[in-house]
Amino acid sequence: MTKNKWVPIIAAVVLLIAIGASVYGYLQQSDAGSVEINGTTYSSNELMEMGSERTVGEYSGAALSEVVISAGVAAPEAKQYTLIAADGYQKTVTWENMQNGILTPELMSVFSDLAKAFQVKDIIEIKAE
Amino acid sequence: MKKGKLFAGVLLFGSLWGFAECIIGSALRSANLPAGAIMTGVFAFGLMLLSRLLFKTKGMQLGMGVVAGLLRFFNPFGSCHICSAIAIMAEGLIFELMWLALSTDSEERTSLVMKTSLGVVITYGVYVGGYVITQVLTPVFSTAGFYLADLLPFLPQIMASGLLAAVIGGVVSPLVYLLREFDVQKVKNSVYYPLTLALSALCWAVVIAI
Repeated sequence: MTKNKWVPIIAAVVLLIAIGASVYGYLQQSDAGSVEINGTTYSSNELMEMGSERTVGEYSGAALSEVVISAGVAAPEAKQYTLIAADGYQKTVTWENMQNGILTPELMSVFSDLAKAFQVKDIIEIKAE
Repeated sequence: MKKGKLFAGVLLFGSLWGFAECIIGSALRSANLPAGAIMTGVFAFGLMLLSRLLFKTKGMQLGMGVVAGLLRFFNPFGSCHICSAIAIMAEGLIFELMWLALSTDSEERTSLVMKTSLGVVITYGVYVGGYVITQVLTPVFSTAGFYLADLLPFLPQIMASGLLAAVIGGVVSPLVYLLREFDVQKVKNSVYYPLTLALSALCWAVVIAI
């Protein structure tokens, strides 16, 4: 079979994979609006009261390091933190990064020392490990 | 193809691609449009396909990626310049490999189905490949570090977001093929070199100045 015969078949498979991934992503999507930290779920309003207000660039929100301390994470400086979004996007950061980060009322992380890729939107969980 | 004309072509098409990434890409992001899919489907794939059809030379698209990546590196927008620059260069390499596997430069007659299919497959590959490389490189070049466990759960989203890029590539490809009859060899040197160099210089000047 020549390349001419294979390419349309590969294109059809690619489109099916992309459509399948879209359906899978839609089904896997979790409800945003609250964040689980250390086994407890907090609303946006509660989270904003758990850390002092700070500004990073054009964004304002609660200091992330203070939020996890308020949530009862033991020995916070010895842990790494994975911020997980409703759509499955996640980023792992260090305690030093957390000290330079905020959680906005829209539940997005913003760090003064990290790239935009670390702006995790619609956070549903912060894992401390 | 004379080497001088080829190098000038690499410089021109690479500069146009880099210009589009920096200027048009930023504008699309500001307008909350799917910049990644549009940039890959229209500009990255469109320019690489056009240059491949006109010059029919292996390695040219990799060279274009290097030029576009360098231009992106000098652009002040965005946070991880080196990551974006390397990702663009990688997109050039991915195109080269996929073109090598799926098509031939000597094909004179290509059906509409083949043109569309090539656009879908190559654009999807370039988009997903570039996206994954950016997701790996950005943490690597940061203080946070890269974790495979962060990338794997997001792969379905990356593969899903490539659907729009693939569809755009499928539409752009037959349109670009309409331009394949243009013969670069017939353009007089006295017009070709000043024009390509002037356009390339303009792209660089605008990106660096803004």
